Amino acid sequence: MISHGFTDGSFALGYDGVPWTNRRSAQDRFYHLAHPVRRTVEPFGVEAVLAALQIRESHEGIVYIPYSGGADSEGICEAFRRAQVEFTPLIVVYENDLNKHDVDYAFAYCTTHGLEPIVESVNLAEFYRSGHALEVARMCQAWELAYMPVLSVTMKYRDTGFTIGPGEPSISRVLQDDGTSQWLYSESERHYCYNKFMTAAGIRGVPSFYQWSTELVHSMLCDPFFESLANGLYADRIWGSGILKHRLYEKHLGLLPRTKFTGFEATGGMLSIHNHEWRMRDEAALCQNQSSDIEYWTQLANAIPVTS
Amino acid sequence: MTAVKLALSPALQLHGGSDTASLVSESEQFDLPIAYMPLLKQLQSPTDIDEIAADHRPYLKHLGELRLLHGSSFAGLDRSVAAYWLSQGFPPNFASAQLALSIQFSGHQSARYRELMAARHPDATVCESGGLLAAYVTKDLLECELPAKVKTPIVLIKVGGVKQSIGPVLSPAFGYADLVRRIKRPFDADLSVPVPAGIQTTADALLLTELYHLRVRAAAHPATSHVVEWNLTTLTKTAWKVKQ
Repeated sequence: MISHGFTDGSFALGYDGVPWTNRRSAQDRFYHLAHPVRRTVEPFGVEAVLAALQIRESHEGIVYIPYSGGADSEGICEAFRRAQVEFTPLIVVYENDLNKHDVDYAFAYCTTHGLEPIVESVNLAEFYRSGHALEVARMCQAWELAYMPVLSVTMKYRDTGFTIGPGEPSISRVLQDDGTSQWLYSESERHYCYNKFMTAAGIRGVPSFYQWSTELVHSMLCDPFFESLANGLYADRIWGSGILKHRLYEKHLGLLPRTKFTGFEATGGMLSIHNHEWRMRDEAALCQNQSSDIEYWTQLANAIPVTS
Repeated sequence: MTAVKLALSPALQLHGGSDTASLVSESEQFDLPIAYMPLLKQLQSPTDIDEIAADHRPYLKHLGELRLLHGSSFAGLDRSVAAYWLSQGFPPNFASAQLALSIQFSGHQSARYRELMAARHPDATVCESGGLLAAYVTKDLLECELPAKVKTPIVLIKVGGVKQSIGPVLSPAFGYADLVRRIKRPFDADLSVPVPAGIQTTADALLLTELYHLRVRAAAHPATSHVVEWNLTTLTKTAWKVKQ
């Protein structure tokens, strides 16, 4: 399968060692590979801007950035803005103001920076009840139906430009038999559905901006927020880097503190119910959420550039 | 004065049944009486504590006991301590857990600072061994008795003279050998001259306060920033106090 320029070639995801593939059986093993860096790794904010520039140079058409108002997508917008690369935010609002608390951040950002977003409206209840969500889920072997409204909207823009999705590395603690902790660098299969969807739908772009290059990935892994976590500067109750992610964006991309939302807070249990029903179906057997893990310090050793 | 705002944890989703209101996260489910539903809906957005109806206060207390609320608990911290860390962006339960990290002192100059830390910050757990954060106190960063590689964090503290410093923090990816290899001459080498006792006392107090705060700020503390701009191969004086 072709990557369609999903990364710069130094980072790959897939199954059983074959990049950019779909799951063919429940036994397939999801994997990721961040190659050793090819040059000195710059701080995360610098790497993000470099990635924005490289993506612009390697793709044709309008840059569409789906923007939920969350920190990940705002970080992408900010990287492109700092790179002075023109882009169009794509804001998906759920009817009846169901995600107003979340997308208000996006509208505020666009106002502050003079950006004119495209706004698409989705009737969530109808989207899930009609089966449209499942059509999209089948295309991309989705485990998590929360991503489906935005993915379906991006199809409208595939002829005029290309799409930038989120996705970032994380590290987490696992307790070993001897009682000590081991830290793993993980990528999750549920995010990989962005890649599979864009391939299936013929959408060009970068499904996971923060996985664009191995240098960008390592700039996150090498940041003191990640390194200090694995080094033991945080209490045992903190088992993963998710709690530090926003601070990383604050430090390197100037994001303001905010409450984390999923965008589904006001929908009651609707999403959980649909997720549960979907995952119980036989046809969803290939929709899994494996984690591909690499021992953290081992991966970090790849951050020392090879000098010739 | 800013009013106290309360809200349900964003990780929780609210489900309504005929006689039960359920809060569901990815790992837990809390079934509550249906009478809680109006309050739970109200708390899905940050709510001024004064806007919560009096007859809902017992429910609110219960939600607090279940630790389902943001901004409702000081996590055992003194109110002023909790307020300080909250103002810095660290939730009380996070700050509380971090302040519980124990400190162990080692190095030739450690005895004095072990005593000073215990006296200045009696709430800090200072231990002889097994501390989660090891502080190595030295007069010369280039003459430490440390292994080339470390498995747990060691914060280096340089004392003596008019220029005392805290940091860097050694890690498996940035061991003592890495530090020594990258330093040609400490920036403060020429400043290690005797100072009046009063100045030394003040300098020590500042140092120990930073160590106290390091436990909460962790990676956000400047002492950890030696790798901020990770870039070990181009470590410069702007990244850390080093004169190349």
